[in-house]
Amino acid sequence: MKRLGEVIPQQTGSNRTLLCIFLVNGSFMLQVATLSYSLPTRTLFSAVSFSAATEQAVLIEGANGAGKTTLLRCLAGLLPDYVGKICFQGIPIRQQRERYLADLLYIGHATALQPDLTVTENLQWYVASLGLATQMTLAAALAKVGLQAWQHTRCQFLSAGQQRKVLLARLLIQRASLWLLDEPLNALDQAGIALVTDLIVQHCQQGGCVVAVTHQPMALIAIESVRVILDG
Amino acid sequence: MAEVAVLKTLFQRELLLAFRNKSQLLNPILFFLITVSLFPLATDPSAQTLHLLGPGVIAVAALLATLLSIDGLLQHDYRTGCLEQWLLSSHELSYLIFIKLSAAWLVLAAPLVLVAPCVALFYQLSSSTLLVMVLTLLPTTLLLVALCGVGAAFTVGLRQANLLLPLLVLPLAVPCLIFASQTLLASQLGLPIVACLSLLTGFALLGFIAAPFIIAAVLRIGLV
Repeated sequence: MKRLGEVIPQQTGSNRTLLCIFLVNGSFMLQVATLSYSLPTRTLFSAVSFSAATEQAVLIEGANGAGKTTLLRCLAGLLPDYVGKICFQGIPIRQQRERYLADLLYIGHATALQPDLTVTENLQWYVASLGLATQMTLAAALAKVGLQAWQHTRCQFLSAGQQRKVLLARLLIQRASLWLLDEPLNALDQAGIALVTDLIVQHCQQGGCVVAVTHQPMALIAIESVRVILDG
Repeated sequence: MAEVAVLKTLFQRELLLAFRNKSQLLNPILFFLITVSLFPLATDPSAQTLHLLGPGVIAVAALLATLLSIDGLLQHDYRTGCLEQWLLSSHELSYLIFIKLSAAWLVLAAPLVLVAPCVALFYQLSSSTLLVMVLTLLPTTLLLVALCGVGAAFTVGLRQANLLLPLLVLPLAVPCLIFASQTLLASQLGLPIVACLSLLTGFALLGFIAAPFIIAAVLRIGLV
């Protein structure tokens, strides 16, 4: 509950219409209000609204092509031309880009793993590139996700599931209060799925917040979860 | 201090990637060697013709070799999703790009500068011209890598990138080409080269410092 006591800064001007929503609960970590995104040819989703407090997980569901990944990319700030409002701890993410990115961990569709580099080298790249605080050594994290024996193997020799597990090691190594996960259960075995679920529950219990796009049901029993359904 | 650690890790990663992908590393050098060494065989091998041809051929070959190697600069990172992660980095994007460009220059263009005097022997150039050649190719390749980097940023994500990239970059590279070959010609004729060389170096430094900011801005706009 790190950020419960934080004061929401004064909203001004055009933000006033949304003020009433945002002042309801100071502990909201992520608030999305009337978010729409259009491709040149069609509207992907419109008027999506939800909010997530600390210790909550948001599960985004919907049919293929409903815009789940696009929604997640909007939340990460990768698609700046969305309409609507995305606030992190009460402030629109457009106004606090740097602070937002310093507290955000995004795992997208693309693994961003170089096939010619080993597992350790790829993770070192992640740690150096993103500039997030670290909380665990690489070796310890790899042991926890079960890739200890593979740490000096090039990623091209790993299976799809193992590559996803390398990304799970990021969740252990890098510290960020908001996780945005795109299909975190993809290609994982039973143990992997249990691991992801555990990681999400633990993260939320430690005062974090998780937004995950998923098709498969996740057993997030110990924490509160919000379901957002995109129906195209 | 943290920035230095980032520099070290990212630089190391670029070098590792280059050395694990040897064909890509050797391609531009082989292309350069073959092109430059074929001209004396195909044309009149008299010293007079070769003196006249040499500087131009070497400058053009260096330009084409850089172009040949550089289209993968951002494309590969784009496809794997690394660029997407970089956009979310709390480090300055232009700083990360600067590291990448410097490593690219070291891996792709610096070997050209080193082998150029060796193949230039085919053209019976004087030893002072060989020295000038190294001094000229250093800023020339720096500027070319910077220009190609900007071109690569504009074409990242396009399917026909390797077709469009030369079209974008070549017009911008022409002044650089002219100054490079003029410097070499002047040195051969015993004329002063300081003006040409300092102008070239100035532009190269300006280009190499400005390019990361331009590339970062283009990527922020384009990668959606």
